[in-house]
Amino acid sequence: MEDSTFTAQNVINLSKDIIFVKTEAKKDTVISHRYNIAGFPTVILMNSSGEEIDRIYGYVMADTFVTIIEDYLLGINTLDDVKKKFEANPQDVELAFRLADKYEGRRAYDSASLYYSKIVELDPEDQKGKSDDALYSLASLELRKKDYLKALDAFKYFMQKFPKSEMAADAELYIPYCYAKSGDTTQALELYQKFLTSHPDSPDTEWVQDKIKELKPSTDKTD
Amino acid sequence: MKTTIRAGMILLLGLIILSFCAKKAPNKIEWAVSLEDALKIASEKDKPIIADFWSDG
Repeated sequence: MEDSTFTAQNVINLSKDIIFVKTEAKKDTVISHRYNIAGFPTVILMNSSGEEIDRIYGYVMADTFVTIIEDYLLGINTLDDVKKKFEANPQDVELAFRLADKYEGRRAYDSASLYYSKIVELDPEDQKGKSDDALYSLASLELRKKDYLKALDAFKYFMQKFPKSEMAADAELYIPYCYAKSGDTTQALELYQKFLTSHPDSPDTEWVQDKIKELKPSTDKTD
Repeated sequence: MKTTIRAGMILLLGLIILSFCAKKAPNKIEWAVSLEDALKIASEKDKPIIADFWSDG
């Protein structure tokens, strides 16, 4: 954001009417905690009293950034706005997904899980193309909460439902990761090895090999 | 002829005044030094705040 979005003239122009401030989140932990920062970059638009209007979670290009901020200032696409729209259209998968995503960006994981589950319930066959994403996100949220057994079950369920999803390879990696974190090193090693065989050109090969090295001593001890 | 020159001069004068009055577009963002500082300025000027939470790793 620093080298691209914040140096674009259309973003600079916003600074005529908006006060800009940078916060190094890992140093200003009190402020980061107060605003429930889930990851970086996170940009929060606040009113003049410091109350959050809404946030942008992750990197966005300058044009998108300006559009989102201008919309937020008009009350468009904010959390409250999307909530109202979903209340009026409770079968709308797209709105449910936007709500889940907004809650996840605020570290409100229980609310995010609620809406991701709603998506799977509304569209179990993934006709809208959001259910695989929602199931994967549900598993990832368990991982964020460090509940490795729940995450393991959720990733397995995801693989069972959507084995051809573009997120399947990542899920295949998280399954042995969850086994390892839950203490089942043998199963973790077996699945990591299987991954290397089935995905010889994966960009994650090195990461998997490192994980195998980390786990090997502990299994050698048990043998 | 005189009328054309006078009209031209009025137009030129108008353009000069306009260029002085127009708010100059900033060429970079002036960042507040801290969130506390930003909140103070925002409250005084009744302006919203954009807070960028970043991390280098």
